[in-house]
Amino acid sequence: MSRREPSWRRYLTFWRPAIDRDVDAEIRFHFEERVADLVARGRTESAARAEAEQEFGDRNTYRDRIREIDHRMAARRGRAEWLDVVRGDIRLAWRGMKRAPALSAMIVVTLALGIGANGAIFSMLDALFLRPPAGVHDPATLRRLYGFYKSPPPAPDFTRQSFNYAEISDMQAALGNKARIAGYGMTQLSMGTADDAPEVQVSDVVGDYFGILGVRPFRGRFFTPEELDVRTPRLVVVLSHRFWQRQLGGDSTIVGKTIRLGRRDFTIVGIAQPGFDGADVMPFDIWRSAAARTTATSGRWWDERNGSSLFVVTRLSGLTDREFSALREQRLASRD
Amino acid sequence: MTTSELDLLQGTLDLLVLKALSWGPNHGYGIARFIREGSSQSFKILDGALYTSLHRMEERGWVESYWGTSDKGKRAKFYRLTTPGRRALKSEQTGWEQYVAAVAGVIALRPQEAAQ
Repeated sequence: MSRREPSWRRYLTFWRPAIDRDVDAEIRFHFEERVADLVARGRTESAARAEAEQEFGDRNTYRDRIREIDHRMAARRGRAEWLDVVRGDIRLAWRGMKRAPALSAMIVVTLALGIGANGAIFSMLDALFLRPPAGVHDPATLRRLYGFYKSPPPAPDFTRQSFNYAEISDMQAALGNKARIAGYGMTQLSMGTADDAPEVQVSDVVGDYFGILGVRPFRGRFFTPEELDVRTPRLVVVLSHRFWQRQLGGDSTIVGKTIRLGRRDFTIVGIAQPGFDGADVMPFDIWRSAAARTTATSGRWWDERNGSSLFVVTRLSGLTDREFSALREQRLASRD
Repeated sequence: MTTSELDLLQGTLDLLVLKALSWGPNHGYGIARFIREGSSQSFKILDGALYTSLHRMEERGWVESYWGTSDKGKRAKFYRLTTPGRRALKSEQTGWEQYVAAVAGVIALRPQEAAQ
């Protein structure tokens, strides 16, 4: 990327590349295959290239046309996600308002400001204020991250509430050691494969999730950095205290034993402190290291930039929201 | 090529792409090859137009895409038909067959038959 580009354009590319890069990769693949085919039929390399170009038509025109379609699609999907965000926040706000009306009014203003701040690459809408989750240390400095996606006009901007692993890695790299972020997913799995197997709420964890939330283990421990390394498959879980009590009868020798989720057995390494069941409205029963997603057939899913299923949480640790945003924008702007 | 010929081909392109995908998921190049071989090169479709058609149909919900690995082990974007896509293929194909039959009927027609 050119050093002369204005800084705002640089952090736009942080969110935009997936679409443009995918279109480029698709067209590149086409040309590589076509040229290889033509060479195999006896053309010289340069003749094959020229022929492939001619068959394709004006590459730039088509590339732009395809990118435009994909941006439009992404914007539409983003709007659907944004509606989910708003719906979730309204539901949450309503719950909170019944308990603490004055505080909620303030939060609604914060939400409104967050929505209006279209200049910022992201903002933090704080669900945690509304219903401080049990067991979470100092909810006031905890934030969920939302991505504001700037589309090239005329496509509208939109907001995303989830990210993929590659994006989380990029964000953490951009933030350096000033702030730590962790990702967590939401999924339902059955305990075993029997027809009547109970469904459990499972969260796939990326990074120091428990550390950032300030939760302590009740029994055993949380995940080690090795267990969190997604490049190697790891089948380890932490149970919520409630799940351990209700579903497993409070078995005091449970740590070290295995639990079957779907078709695989996971080793229980710990139980979280009583009362803690995640930082969202939906309570979790079990947390897995996201390395559980790595299987013989999963490929390098952590490099995949299509789709997103992980929410991101961070601790401000001495920074204000504004400082945090500025820090990240500055870091992104200095990336080349 | 006149404008009407071009329009005909563009409308038909979606049908050809849907038909290619009815045999299973494929990447853009695989679809291009399928059409090129199937048509015995008797008409030319710009590959760029083919990709535009694919993305447009993805937007319309007729096909969906995912990244996979090609026969040669390269990362490639694959497309597959959705249920609305199968439905669209059926109706486009019926429309096309009726069109061909109608044109063939007119071509085979003799003036004295027309007068009756």
